[in-house]
Amino acid sequence: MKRIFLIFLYRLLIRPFLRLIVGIRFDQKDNFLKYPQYIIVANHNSHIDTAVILASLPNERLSQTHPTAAGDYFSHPLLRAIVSLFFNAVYISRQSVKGLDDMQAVLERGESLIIYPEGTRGKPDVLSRFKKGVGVLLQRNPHIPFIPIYLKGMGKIMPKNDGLIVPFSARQIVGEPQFVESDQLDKIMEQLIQAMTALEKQDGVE
Amino acid sequence: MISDTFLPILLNGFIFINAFISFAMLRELLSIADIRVQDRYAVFWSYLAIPVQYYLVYHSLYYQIFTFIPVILFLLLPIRSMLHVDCQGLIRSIATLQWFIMLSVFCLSHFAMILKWLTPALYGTIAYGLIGFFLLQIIAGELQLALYFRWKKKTFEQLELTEVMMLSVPLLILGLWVGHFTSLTLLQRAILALLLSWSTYFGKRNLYAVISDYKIAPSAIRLSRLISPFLYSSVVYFHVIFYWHGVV
Repeated sequence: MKRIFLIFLYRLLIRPFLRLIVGIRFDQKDNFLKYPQYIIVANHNSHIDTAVILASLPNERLSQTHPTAAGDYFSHPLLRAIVSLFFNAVYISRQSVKGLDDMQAVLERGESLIIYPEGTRGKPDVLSRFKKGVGVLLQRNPHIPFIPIYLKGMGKIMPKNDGLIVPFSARQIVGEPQFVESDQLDKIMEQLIQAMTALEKQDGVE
Repeated sequence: MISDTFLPILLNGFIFINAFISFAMLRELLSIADIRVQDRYAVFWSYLAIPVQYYLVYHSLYYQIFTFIPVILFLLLPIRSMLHVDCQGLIRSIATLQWFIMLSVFCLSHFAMILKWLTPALYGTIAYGLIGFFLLQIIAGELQLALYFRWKKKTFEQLELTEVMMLSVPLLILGLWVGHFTSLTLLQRAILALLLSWSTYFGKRNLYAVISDYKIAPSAIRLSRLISPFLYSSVVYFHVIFYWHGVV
C-alpha cells in the first residue's frame, strides 16, 4: 500500500512538478538498479534535496530507500508522522553511537539509506566538511556500495530558513555505485570526498 | 467552416504553449543571473506575472497588456526589497530581473498577440497573409544567416553591422515578392522586411550580450537563444501593423 502511495506521489505528482515547474534536470536511473542495496551519499543545501533524490529513484527501489532525518530536528510527533508518510524517512539520533545503530538496523532489513554526510544544510553549492558517521557505516558494511549524488543549485530554489519554493534551473548528477576500497576510516572518507568532488567537476561538461 | 471552430481551440493551445515557453526562458535566464537572495520574493512575483500577462493577451486587453509589465510590475517589484535597511546591490539585482521579464514575458507575449489575429472575428483572412509573411521572413533570415556563416566561416558575434545591412537585401526582395499575397502595399512590404531583418539581429544580439556579460557557456541559455529571433521582431511587427491597420 505504502509502495503504491509513494509511486503515485513521486512519479505522478512530485517528479513532473520538479521537472517542469521548478526546472530540475534529473540524471538517468540505471545506477540505482545495479545492486539491490546501497547507501546514497549526497550534499545537502535545501529541504527539496530529499524530494529530488526520491523522485529520481526507479519504482522498484522507491519504498525500500529511506532518507535519514535527525530525530531532534523533527521532534514534534505530527511532523514526524507527516515526514515519514511523505518522505519514507527513518529517524536517527544525532549522537554517534545510537544513530549508527539505528542506521545499521535499517541496512540489516535489506533496505537502503540516503545520508547527507554534511550533517545539515550548508551554504549553497559549497561542500562543507563530511561527518564521519557514514564512513563508519560503510566500514562496518563493506558489501554495500555507496552511490554519490551531487545536487547543484538546490540552495537557490529553497534556501535554509525560507519555505518559499522559487523555480530555478538545477541539476542532479548521479555517480556510479562504488564499494569501499579500504577498511580504514580515513581512507573511506577520502574516497567519499573524492567521489563527490569528481561529480562536482563533471557538472560543466555537457 | 472548420477554421471557425478549430482555430480558436488551436490558438488557445498556442497561447498556453507560448506562456510556458516564456516561463521556461525566464527561469533559464534568472538561473544564470546574479539575483540577490533577498530578492527571492521579487523573483517569485515575476513568475506569477506570466499567467497574468497571457490572461490579458487571451482577452485582447491591449491597454493592460502594454502597461502591466513596463509600468505596473516595474513599480511594484522593488517595493519589498527597498523596504530593507540594507539595499546594497538592489539596483543591479532588480534591474536584471526587470530586463529579463521584459525579454522573456513582455516581448514574447507579442508573438501570442500576432497569432491572436487569426481569431476570425478579429482580423479575418488578412491575418493568414500577415502571419505567413512574418514567419517566412524570420525563417528565411535564419536560413540565410546559417548559410552565410558556413560560407564565410564566421560566428554570430563576428558579424558586423555592414554585413547585417547587406544580408537584409535578399530578405527585402523576398519580402517584396511574398508580400504580394498580403494586403500590404509595396512601401509597407519594404519597410517591414527591413525592420524584421534588423530586429531579428538585435534580438539575437541581446542574448549574446547576456552571455558575454555573465561569461557563461552559450549552452547554458540554449532555449533563450533558440527563441531570440522572435524577441524584438514580434514586438516591432505587432506595433507597426497595429499602427497601420489598428487591431479591433
